[in-house]
Amino acid sequence: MTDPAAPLSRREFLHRGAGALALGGLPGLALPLPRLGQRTRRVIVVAFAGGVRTKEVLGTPSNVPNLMRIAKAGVTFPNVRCANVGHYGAALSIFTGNVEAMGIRDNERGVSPTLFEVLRKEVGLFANDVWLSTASGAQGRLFAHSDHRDYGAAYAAQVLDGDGIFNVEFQKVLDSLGRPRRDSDQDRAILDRLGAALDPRQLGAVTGGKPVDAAELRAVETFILDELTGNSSRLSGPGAPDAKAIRVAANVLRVFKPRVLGITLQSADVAHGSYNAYVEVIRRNDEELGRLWDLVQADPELRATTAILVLPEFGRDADLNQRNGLDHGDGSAQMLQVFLVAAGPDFARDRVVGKEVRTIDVCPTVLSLFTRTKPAHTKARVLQELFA
Amino acid sequence: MPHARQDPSPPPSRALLRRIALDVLQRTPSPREVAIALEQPVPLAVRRWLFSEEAMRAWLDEELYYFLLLDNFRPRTEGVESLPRRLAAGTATARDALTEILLSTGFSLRNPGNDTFVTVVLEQVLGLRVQERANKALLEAGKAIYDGRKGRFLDREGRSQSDLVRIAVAQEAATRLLLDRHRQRLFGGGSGPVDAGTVQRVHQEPAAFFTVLGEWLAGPEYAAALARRKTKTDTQFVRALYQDLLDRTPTYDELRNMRNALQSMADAGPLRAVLAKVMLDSGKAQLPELRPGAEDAFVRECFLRYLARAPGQEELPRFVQELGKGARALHVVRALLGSPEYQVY
Repeated sequence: MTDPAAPLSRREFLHRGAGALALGGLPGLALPLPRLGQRTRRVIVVAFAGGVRTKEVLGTPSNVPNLMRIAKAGVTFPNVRCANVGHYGAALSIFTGNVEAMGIRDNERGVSPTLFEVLRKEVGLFANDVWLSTASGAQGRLFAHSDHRDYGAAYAAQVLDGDGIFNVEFQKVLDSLGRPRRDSDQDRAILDRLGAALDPRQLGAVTGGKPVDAAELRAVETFILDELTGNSSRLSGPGAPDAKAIRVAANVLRVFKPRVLGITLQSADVAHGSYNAYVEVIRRNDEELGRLWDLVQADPELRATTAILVLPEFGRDADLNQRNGLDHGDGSAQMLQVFLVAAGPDFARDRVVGKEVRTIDVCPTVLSLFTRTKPAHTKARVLQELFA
Repeated sequence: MPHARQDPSPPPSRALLRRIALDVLQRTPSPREVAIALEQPVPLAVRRWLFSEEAMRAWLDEELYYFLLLDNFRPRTEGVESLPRRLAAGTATARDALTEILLSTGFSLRNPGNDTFVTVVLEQVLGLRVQERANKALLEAGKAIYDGRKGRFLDREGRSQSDLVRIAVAQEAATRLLLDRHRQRLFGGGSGPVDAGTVQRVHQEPAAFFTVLGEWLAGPEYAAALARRKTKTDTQFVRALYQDLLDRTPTYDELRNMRNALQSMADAGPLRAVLAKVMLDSGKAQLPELRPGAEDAFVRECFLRYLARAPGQEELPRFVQELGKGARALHVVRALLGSPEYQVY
């Protein structure tokens, strides 16, 4: 057992959740928050996105038996307000705590800092403490950080788009060139010496003076090489990008045990052309979520410290379109009212909260698990009803 | 031993050539191309590269990427496929290219339904925000025309998806956004908007678009911007890696698959290092020759080829020393390709 009087390393100090109070100078208003997140040390936020109605989820429990298990172990909010600002903007809003009116094909980053950046900067989390596994294609990696001048790339999450890297096509490229061999200790020593021989002034002009953490880079490189030869690459079929995102997230959780793990899904948008495929995606994603939940429950440390929050970015139209699919733009309650399911060591169990909340409330709620300082950039509120 | 404190050398002309090649061809120049271009005035090198079919293909790929027409959504029509050849020959303009792209099946599939289609046209072609109240009526007018109903859109009459695209692309705002996007690409975010005279010139004469790009690339402002390094995009990185190590450009599939993989990470640095290692370990890489007794020439050649600069006074002896202590050519090349300096240009 750890001696409570023993001096703490910086990392351990921060892990105990006390760091933010001591850091000082935080841009925000200190609120008299209740005792939030005393046991929670890790949070998984799943943007069950692509446009998913409550009707096919909470309204049809047989589609999502695993999510219902999580709901039973936690809190369900069936009345969550969202904004119709396109998939990208709406999913981004979950992570920033602001309604982000981004273009639906925007290839630009948002302007509000994401919770990843806030946690890295204000709470001092390291790069490998904050991960995002996405199925959102080219836009997915834009969630990693904003263009906010006080945050940005220096505080980004590590992002992996499972479908971008672990796919059959990329495997073929690797196969055509041959598998790389493992570096020997001598190789690494030579490379380290050659790297150190490069003019630091030239490197400084490139990195802006920021030191390069070679060990961290090597850890990620090794993870990538291991994943490239693993099972994630072989997932296929409808909804495979989402399934890969959740599978990769589970591997990240196992290897790095990050403090914050975001997962953004997208495949449900197949609904534009096929209602049946949409339901199939929901069922498959639920299955993968179940695996993730079981992974957490099977590891005593993760079970005692990990919270999970699952919500869509918005819903879909009330009525089918001419292709027997579902678009998203009618402004109906099914479009603008979604759900949130959350479970974790500090949350209530088997509770349903009927009061209207918002998707953007997730961001300050997650932040409240790590710091008592409310960030200045969001007007959203902490979901107090969540806590036991 | 600590490095002597001195400012980095001023960028040599081969650094400028590399910048131009990466901006225009989306790859590093080959040693032979560099040798030729070093003997020419800059405007000539710019012309030679910019008006090539390869450059036009690279430009088209950038445009398709801007509209997120990737993978299954990439237009495969003859009209789009032939654009690089027609652009290089001067028989098509950038405005023609935009029109072809927006009228392609890939664009329709990528942006299904009237709301999405018109929103993307307004946002990506004209730079408007559809969430703004002032643009709501415009969105509705566009949707009606998309659906085949006769109506007015941006003060022009139309009744089809095709009319909608042609009206939008012909707007001066479309020309301005196109120029602004490419100026930002070449000069970086702080370059400011394109002046009204240039916008008018290209709007009146669409064929002048690439001429304007050439004037920018050969001008003093572009050379001065060399002091601010730019990070290679994933496309530039992959194409440069193929050029530098395999002495060829990647096929479309090779590029797409590697780029998609790189785009899967916010910080692609570790994966870029993995790709460089894969290529070096493949045994197919064509590296500068390392001859016994000529280690310093090898190191110098590697620095020039991969970093577009000569090794510094401290760097050269240390690299040569490592070669004498067991480092191989692969180690030297991998150290340079894995350096943050190789990620920029």
